[in-house]
Amino acid sequence: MRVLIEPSSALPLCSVQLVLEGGAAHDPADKLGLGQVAAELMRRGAGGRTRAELDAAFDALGASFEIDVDHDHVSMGGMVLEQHLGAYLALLGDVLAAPALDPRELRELLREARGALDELRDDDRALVRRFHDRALWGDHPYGRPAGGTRTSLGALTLADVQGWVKRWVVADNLVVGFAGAVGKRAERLAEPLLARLPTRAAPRARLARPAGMAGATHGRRRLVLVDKPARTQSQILMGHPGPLWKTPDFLPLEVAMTAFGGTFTARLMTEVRVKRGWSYGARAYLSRGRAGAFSMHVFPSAEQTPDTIALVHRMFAELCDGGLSDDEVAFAQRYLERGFAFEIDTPERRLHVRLSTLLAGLPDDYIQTYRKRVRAVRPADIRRAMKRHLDPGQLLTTLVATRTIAKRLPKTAGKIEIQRFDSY
Amino acid sequence: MAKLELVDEAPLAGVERRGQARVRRFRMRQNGLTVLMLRDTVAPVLAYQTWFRVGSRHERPGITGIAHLFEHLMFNQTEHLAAGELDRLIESAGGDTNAATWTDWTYYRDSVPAAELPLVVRLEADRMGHLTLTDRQVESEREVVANERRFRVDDDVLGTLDERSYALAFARSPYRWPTIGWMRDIMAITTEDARAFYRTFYAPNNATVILVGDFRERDALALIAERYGDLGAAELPREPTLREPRQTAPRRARIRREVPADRVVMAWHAPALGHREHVPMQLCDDVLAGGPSSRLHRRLVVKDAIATDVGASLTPFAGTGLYQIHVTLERGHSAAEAERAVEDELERMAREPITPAELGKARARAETQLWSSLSTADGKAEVLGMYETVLGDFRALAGLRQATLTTGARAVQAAVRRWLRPEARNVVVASPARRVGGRS
Repeated sequence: MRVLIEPSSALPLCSVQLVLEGGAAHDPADKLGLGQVAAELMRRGAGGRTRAELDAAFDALGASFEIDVDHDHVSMGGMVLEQHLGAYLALLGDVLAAPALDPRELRELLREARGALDELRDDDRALVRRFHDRALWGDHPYGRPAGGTRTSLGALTLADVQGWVKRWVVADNLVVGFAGAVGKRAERLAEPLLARLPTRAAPRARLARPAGMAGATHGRRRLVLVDKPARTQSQILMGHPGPLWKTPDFLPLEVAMTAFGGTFTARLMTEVRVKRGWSYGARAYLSRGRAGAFSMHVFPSAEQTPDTIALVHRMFAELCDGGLSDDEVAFAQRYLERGFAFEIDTPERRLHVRLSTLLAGLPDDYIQTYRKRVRAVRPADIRRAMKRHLDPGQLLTTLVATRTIAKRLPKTAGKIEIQRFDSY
Repeated sequence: MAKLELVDEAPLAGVERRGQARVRRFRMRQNGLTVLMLRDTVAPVLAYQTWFRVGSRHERPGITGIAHLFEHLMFNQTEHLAAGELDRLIESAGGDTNAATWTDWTYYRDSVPAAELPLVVRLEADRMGHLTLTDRQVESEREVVANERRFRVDDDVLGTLDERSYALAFARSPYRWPTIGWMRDIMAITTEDARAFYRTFYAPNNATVILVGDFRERDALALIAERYGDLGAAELPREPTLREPRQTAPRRARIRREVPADRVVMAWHAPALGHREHVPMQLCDDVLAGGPSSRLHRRLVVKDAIATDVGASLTPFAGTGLYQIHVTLERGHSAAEAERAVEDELERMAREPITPAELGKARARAETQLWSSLSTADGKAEVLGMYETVLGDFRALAGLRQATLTTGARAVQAAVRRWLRPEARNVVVASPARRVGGRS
């Protein structure tokens, strides 16, 4: 177990984060959603308390307790008043070391999980991300939905959950973070958690990425139209696989993305929103997960959708062909360097950076050296990284829209595949 | 030269903590500008916010949405800066700028490294007094806002239900129209409308500037005096009445949407932020829908197993606001079932006082939420700005916190009886546009 501490007595509040390696990408192909269901079931009764008693115990402290499962990790934790920190850790210890894993609660949880999938279909932003990831990564585990599907949830059993807990919830696989009013014995706070967890070795939690830069885009442009009735607006994601956070090309490319679509005055926002008013937001970014991807997001009206896609594709091609001006690069470097103060201005944010860099395999001195490394990026580094990692010919475009729009979409966006919004 | 005078000071949220400075309020006699300062040196950053006492309640039918559209236009050109330059200068300094509008206020936020104090004072004073507007900018921003409306309301089921519930619940109050505006009104706003709005409401005597972060008070006072000193006060219009007639019969509406099962919002008039029953209603809200041990979650999601999600919200408005409960039904269950269960729980709240454990939980959760909201410089500035603008005094936060810690179960019961009456209920349901499968 590793423990990170960011002490501060500025407020009478403490944040606690528990992170387990091994997220949804490790779910078996026919048991999608297992990690999420297992982590959630752990909090539905533990340490001799029923679900209702445990919920009441957390709430009585005024504490929050959230669970988040992404492809690489399972995170649990929340905020608690300093005077309740000890009691809060005792409850977390129960969740980790003595979950009830009650079969009746599992049935209820699976019912709620199916309901959550229905709710997701109301949310076009979540919907476009779900279909985009599947199209981008194909059969690779990074293309699978963390919350599973109706079919895969139906296949989950209590034995699956028990197996998951046994496999992943071990001391060796846990990272604990404290931020805020941790008191004088901060370094000993995690001891009760550690003492109760099994000490066997954790499984290896790294997956190989799909081979090649193209990933599942198959080396050509594609357009996936997620057909949903009565849309007045389209949610659109465009992108392709990108570099990993820990690789040398990431930072130069992050500077490039900042200049292209990372701020309000960047190229994308200026052309799409400021000059034309076509979309409320327009941005480009790199993801920091272990999958590594480059994405652009816009959401124009149905009427303006074809023109917006054509414009963004054209701008992306121009970026890849012509690069960035020296002024744009210098601006992006200044923005990232000076704005880093806001990544680390509170103990919770410092803890977040330390946790995520640790899990991504970045050096311990990431915070101390970030500004210097941004300053050191040269235009040649950016050109090289762009050449290696950006390719307009392999752009995947996914949009949630009504299918009548299909005949107006630009032919250059690639072959159109239509999928119903409630089919997945 | 203009001068800022110290008017009063108080600890943040009424709590003195070691190493924590007090909030100090200054006023500029010449033009009525109020300035709140809180020195906070934990990080080399500065939150600089300007809160205007104007929101959608100051609009009128036919021109709804202008307060919000105008907020967008404030990022355009001034007599001294080209369009887009404000954003560029802030971003170039490593900062971030944005704004928000609601019923009672509009505020502008700059989050910058601490050394950029002179820059933000210059930029904010400039656009408070010297904004220029062109037809082209107004047209472009209208399109952006129309797209924002599609995103937040027209293509979002909960956004639509929320909008409809306000329109249903309020007959006379200006809270009945959405802050983003009706689409037809947004598209009809002219450049001259925007100019008139600016002249009327954007003046120092209608604003509070808030600084939280690592700055020297003497430097900040001098800069503000220099940059804002020559801005003139405006003659502010009379405030619109926020009174709403007592509701005597329930109202309902139904819409069809592409949803797998019913979604419902139930809404009641609710006490204003400054009303003595606002805190009892906050505690009631937490007992009903705060966290997984809350009564409605236990009843609808766990025991009856008819819903996948339940939530609630209480508005912090200057006038009579709204208390909303929203429920997402599971396939095969109807909004009517949710309504009956909610009514049962409200009857129980009206019949029996909440338990000491529930009261303790609600107080502890309120305390955690309060301190969480104060964890960043931006968060502190937002809390100060909201209370100063809506209630006229940032110290009201301390009073509300104290009331939260002392309000008893009987007061919560009385508030439920007064506000959450069955005949004062407004119900909006979104039903599936087409038949979908039952439970599976």
